[in-house]
Amino acid sequence: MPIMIEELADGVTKIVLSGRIDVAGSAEIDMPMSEVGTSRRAVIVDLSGVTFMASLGLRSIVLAGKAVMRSGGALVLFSPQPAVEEVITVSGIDELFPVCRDEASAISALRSSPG
Amino acid sequence: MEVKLSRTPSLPPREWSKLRLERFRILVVDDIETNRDLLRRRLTRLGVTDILEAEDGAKALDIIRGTPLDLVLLDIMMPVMTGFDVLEAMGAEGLIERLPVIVISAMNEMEPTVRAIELGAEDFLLKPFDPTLLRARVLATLEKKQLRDEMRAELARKQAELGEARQLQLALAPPSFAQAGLSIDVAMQPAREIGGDLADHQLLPDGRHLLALGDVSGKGAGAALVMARCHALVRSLVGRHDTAALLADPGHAAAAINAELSSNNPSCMFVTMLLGIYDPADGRFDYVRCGHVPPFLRRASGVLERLDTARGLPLGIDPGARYGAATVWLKPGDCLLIVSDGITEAAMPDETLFDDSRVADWLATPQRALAGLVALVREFEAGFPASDDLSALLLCC
Repeated sequence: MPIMIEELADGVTKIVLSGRIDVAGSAEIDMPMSEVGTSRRAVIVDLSGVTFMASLGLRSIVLAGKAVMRSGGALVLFSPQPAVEEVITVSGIDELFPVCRDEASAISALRSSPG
Repeated sequence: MEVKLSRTPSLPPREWSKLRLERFRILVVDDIETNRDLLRRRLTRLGVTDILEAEDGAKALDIIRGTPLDLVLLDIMMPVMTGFDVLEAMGAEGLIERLPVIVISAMNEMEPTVRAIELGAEDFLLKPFDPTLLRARVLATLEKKQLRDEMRAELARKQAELGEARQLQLALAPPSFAQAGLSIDVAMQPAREIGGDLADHQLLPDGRHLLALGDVSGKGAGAALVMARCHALVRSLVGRHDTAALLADPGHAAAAINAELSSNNPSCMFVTMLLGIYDPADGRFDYVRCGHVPPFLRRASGVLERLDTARGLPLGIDPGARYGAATVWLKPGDCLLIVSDGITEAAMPDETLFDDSRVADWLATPQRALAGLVALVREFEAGFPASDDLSALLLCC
């Protein structure tokens, strides 16, 4: 499964993505991502295990993130591999969601996010 | 000989009533006339009206080759040409895939029956005929044949529709452009029949050139519709009351397209786009990069630059997004290449990516046409099906 969801302390939800988030991968993460997006308000996304990210995968993240933000919450990405980080920065998605080095800084970025 | 004449076939639990039996044509092949008569009577009782007969394999094959049929009931042991020969010929001529055959064999002939099935027969019936089995197998085979025919017709219809959509979409890509000191080449190849990449070039009334290369975050029909919508939005930049303001700065143009795309976009299908305006009078190129791969610029001197500023969000995500343009000055001999990630992320069977470096290598040698780059990408993929749409714009001064 390219997606795992963990509930952390203080109402933080961690989504762990892994493998290739291409056409097939994004089809698998779409549903769970949107479910988290519509039901949680503090979400961090662990990208350390993601080896490839297609635009469809970004769309899945954007959809979930926008849903979180609509309800006043925040979504933070963390630990992308260099190739995935490049996809994120080239696409400008990092303007919408902070990209952090590790889980601890992602959680503190959640705290400092508006909402 | 039939042994269970007294038994009336009871209705099987399936609903056969949907089969319009009078529309089917069945060929009965048997060298013994009484067997043919018996089968004809049985089939007639089921409601089949169009029944042809042949007394040997050779005659049967003539009919099979020349007449549309829905089912063949084929005896195996016959003079002139056996049922096996008929099945072999049907297999060799590709007829067996579309025309089901039920072989008829005697009780003690299990081995030949198996061989007939291996040769492509759909099912078998044992002599003497059991009316219930005959009914069930004939109806089941006809139903399967009908479903397959419908599926084939449906597939052909969809294929034709997609083919038409593809032609329409490819027609949206403009032809190459060439004049003294300027050439613009365009490539667009959807990964499937239709795709979500857009490549456009318009010569503006003031002599400048509007370039747009976009990539919808999706595949297939949905992406193609968004692509067509984007194309229309890019085209409609010209001829609006605020055209002058929009085309004074591609950032304004991007914001206008973004505002339109962001409204009513619940599925969040966003579009990365490079929008640029080139003025051949002084070589000025203003561009904005809405989440798009940075373009490649090879100077006449051979130096390679990446246009990686003027970054903004992909179009369609945030209605309030702002887009700031950047400017580069092109000089004679410079070549500007804008690609979609279908090129940089084209993959070899082992998932190695084509990558920026190979694009740069290609551009390092003098180029005026994109066909070479597309061929290089396809060669790299080594027959592995493309996973993404591929498009590119090449502007050479």
